[in-house]
Amino acid sequence: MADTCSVWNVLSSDRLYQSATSAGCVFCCTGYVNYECLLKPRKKAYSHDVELQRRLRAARNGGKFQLFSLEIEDLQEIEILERRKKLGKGELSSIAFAKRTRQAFLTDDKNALKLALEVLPSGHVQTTPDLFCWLIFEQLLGDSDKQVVISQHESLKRPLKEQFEECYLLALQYRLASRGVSN
Amino acid sequence: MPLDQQLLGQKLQRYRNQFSRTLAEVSATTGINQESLQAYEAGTSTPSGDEILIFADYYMCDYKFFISNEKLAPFEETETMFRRYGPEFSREDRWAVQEFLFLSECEHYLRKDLVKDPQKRFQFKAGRSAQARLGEVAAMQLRAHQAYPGTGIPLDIYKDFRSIGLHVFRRKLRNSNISGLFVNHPVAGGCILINYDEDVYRQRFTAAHEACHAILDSDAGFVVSLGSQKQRELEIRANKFSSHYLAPSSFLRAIPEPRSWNTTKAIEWANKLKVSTEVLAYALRRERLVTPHTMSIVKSVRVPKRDKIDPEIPDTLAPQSKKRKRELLERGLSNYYVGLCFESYREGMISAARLAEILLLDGDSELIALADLYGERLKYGN
Repeated sequence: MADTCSVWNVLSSDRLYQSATSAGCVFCCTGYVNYECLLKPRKKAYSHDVELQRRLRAARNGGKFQLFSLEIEDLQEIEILERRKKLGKGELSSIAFAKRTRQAFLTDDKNALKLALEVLPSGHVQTTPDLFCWLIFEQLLGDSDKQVVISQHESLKRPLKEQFEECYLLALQYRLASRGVSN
Repeated sequence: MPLDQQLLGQKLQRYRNQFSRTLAEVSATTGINQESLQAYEAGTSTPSGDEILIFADYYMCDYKFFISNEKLAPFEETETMFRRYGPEFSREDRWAVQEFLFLSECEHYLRKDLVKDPQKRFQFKAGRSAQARLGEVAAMQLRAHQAYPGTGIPLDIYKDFRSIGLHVFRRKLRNSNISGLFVNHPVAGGCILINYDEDVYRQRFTAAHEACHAILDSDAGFVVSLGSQKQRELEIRANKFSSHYLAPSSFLRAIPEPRSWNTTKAIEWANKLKVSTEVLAYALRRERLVTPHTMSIVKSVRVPKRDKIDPEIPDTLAPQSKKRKRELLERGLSNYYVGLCFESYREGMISAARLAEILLLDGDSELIALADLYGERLKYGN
């Protein structure tokens, strides 16, 4: 269950997105996140935002990024009500839905991640750099893909370059450690 | 808690009417089709949770307002205000008022629940003061509360009023006849809006005027100050408060030769007090220091615009930063408020998406640009 910023981050790199979907990852979002991504009027249309919206529409037309609807009861949950002025409405809706359906919540904002962990189990809160790390670790993305992912991501003015670099090294460390274990 | 479908429908319909929106307009912006909107308003169908959030986003209010019976928004106040002053509030200005109330509510939350901003509560004590002197007495009590010496001049009155718990926002309104307004928000308390379209010194006077309404007239629910308004008792009292707060007797009497005035001296002392020459003239007359003729000399000139420095746009800023901050102020985003929002974010109290919402930004592209302007950094990953 992706929030608005992670929808953009996942879609920002075609290489990352294709690799993740090929590996069986299924992305979905709430009706509110869809509104925020595609319907909510903006004061200014940046070309990179327009491109990301085009990608999301294309993905949805291809049956990806399925929408799920939130119930009013989800919003009435005490844990959700208590955090309604700390989280963005897109994050709140995603967490509420993930909580009810026991899905994972995908966010790339550090504070949202921390606040989500107060509501969801730790394994159920993930980030796009975590996903990238896992794809590298599983060798579903190769070393040469790293730079492609980062430059595609940066070309659409997305902010995770540093985190991708860190996660790449982390994945290599994990891989090395796992070899040590298996040897 | 069970949802009252009829009540929810009424809230949606009354909000739409308050802001003079058609079903087609709401539908175009929210993506919810007109038939569904009609059914929700009639109470024959219930919106989804996502749609409740979309309505909260559209009408800039707490979503809990729609799904509970709690009084969480100044809904009745704005409804009565827009009905009473109908033609004065254009569609754009009604929206501006709603944005201001949203900012006030967010500021209240950040101050109270997150940052724990220390505030010196001010409680006015009327004692045996005559009705006609309440404005003056309140101004003197507030000056004492702020520990101003007799001749002390409030340089940043916005800071003064925020320090006693009021929510002060300046925002450009299309109708220049509205100088300011006060609303008693059921959650946030006293909220003051000053028309940023007015002259810098005039804005100071309006801020003090509206603060008086917040201190003395909070039971009224709201007060709108119009330039063309026939002077009601309430307005005369608020003007007296402003006059005494900004230009106290002891200061005026300490001016060298306080009975002798020419135009140069009028500009010099109006500028020291940071008020218009008109306000200075009336204050001098109030103290019986000048004759009607001298009063007319004092108010015959104007303080040059270049001499009027906005405390929130200091002269030390680079021209580009000044321009950007002015644009933000026009939208109601004061330095204080933006700083408070970023502080809450830095402390990990709110997420970046919430930060963008409470700063009325479209999304992260705008947020990144604003963070750059304020030298702030957004935190990603884990």
